[in-house]
Amino acid sequence: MKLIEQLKKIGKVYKEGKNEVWFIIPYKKIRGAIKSVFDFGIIRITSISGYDNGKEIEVIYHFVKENFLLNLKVLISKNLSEINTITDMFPGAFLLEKELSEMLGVKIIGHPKPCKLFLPEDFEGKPPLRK
Amino acid sequence: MHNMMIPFGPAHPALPEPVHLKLFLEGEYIMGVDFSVGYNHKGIERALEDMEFAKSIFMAGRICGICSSAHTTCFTQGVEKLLDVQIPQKAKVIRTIVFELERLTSHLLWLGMLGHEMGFDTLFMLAFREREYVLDSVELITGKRVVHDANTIGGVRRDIPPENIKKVNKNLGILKDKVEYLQNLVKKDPIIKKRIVGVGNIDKDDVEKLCLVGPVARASGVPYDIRKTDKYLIYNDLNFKVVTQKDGDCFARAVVRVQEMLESIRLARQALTLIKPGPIRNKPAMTFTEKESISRVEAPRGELIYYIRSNNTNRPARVKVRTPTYANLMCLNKILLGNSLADVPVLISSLDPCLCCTDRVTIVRNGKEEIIKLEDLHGHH
Repeated sequence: MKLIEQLKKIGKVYKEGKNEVWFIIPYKKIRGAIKSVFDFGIIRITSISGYDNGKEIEVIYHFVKENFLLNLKVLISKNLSEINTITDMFPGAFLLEKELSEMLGVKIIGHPKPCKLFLPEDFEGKPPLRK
Repeated sequence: MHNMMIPFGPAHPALPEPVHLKLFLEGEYIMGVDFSVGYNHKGIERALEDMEFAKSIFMAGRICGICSSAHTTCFTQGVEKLLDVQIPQKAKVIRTIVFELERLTSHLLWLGMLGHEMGFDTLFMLAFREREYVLDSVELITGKRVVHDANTIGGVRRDIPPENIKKVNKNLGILKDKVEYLQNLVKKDPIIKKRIVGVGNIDKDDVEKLCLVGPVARASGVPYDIRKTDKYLIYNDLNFKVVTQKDGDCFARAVVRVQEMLESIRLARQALTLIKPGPIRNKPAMTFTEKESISRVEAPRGELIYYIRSNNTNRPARVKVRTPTYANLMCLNKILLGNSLADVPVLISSLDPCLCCTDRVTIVRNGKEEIIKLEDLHGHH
């Protein structure tokens, strides 16, 4: 697929399976990578997973086109803890980004409505899924 | 300019779902919607991290009482990918049968609730009466009526006794006629039509843009069905069609679900003929390494997706669940705008919501929203 070739120039494939590809994309290039996914014509984002591996926050965007799953992973340093929103291209990521932000404490820059989703608005303390 | 804000839920007599809506009205008509969820957030994703894989299946099955089997199938499928284990054919067949029976119970329950929301309680009674045939059949297969716990890593926990295959088949035969009657009722009854035809439209573009799933997507003409695309379990060997409608209104969503029930009966009966003697479980060595997997299934409400990550222990490092209702919440704005307040329960139940979710206290003063914290409330004593 043309998109895969394009993404290979930006990031690295770290896992391949039946109908799925997993990329790791450098933090600074994630916006460009997601833009190329959008330009390719994939419009469905099915989930955003976040994981605190102790050193960094891993964020994985799961895009889907029919039976093909494209997973883009980006590592965010805990000191910085912020990433640009993708809701301008993928409006379906609206709730997913909110959840990522409250559960793992990743600030989403440019989110149209950056309030809490599941947690109470006055919740204080460290994000629940941070290690 | 909105002239009134009506709070709706989270415990509203007309809508027994823990969702809080703020409806901005102009006269009778809704001009803006804001929703909040979280009233029922149980922290299951975090709880799963503290459980051994073998035990966590039971926790996953309790995320939802109605689509319990969808959750366990999706979870075990993900774990099986981590362990690189193939499950026996017979286990696949049993999982498929339970899966389809579960879709039937879920859609029948939904049809009953739709009838109840529009004040047509006879439909509620009829749907719940027919649902018993399915629950009995599920009991014959798994030993349980609601939360089945049929799946385990590497296969299923219980074989179907041969004499029960006939009984289940007979039940499904009776149910087919009953569902056909219900289908006729939904399609032709003037009361139902008056209430739900042409309300709550979602067009095809919005479905794709907002990433809507399941019967909601299919009712707007998007044939998005993981059973067809991913061909997991034995769906590749079964003959079924993806039911779609074009109109995208409440009526189309009702028709899609009723027709899907008939497809599910066909699927379950086809799968029953495929049961051949053989093992029901490949017991894998439960040694996990650093890996991650993603697993999708078509739950009764749409695409359910699990991201599972393991480390070198026997507990998951992370489980992320994206349930179908979570995805479908995005369209609340679209379906409610411009409709009247009285239609809210019917419109929301047409999405078949299953909410698991906490909220905040807000008050609107001079058109501005203010978040009131717990201390402030205490201060007002």
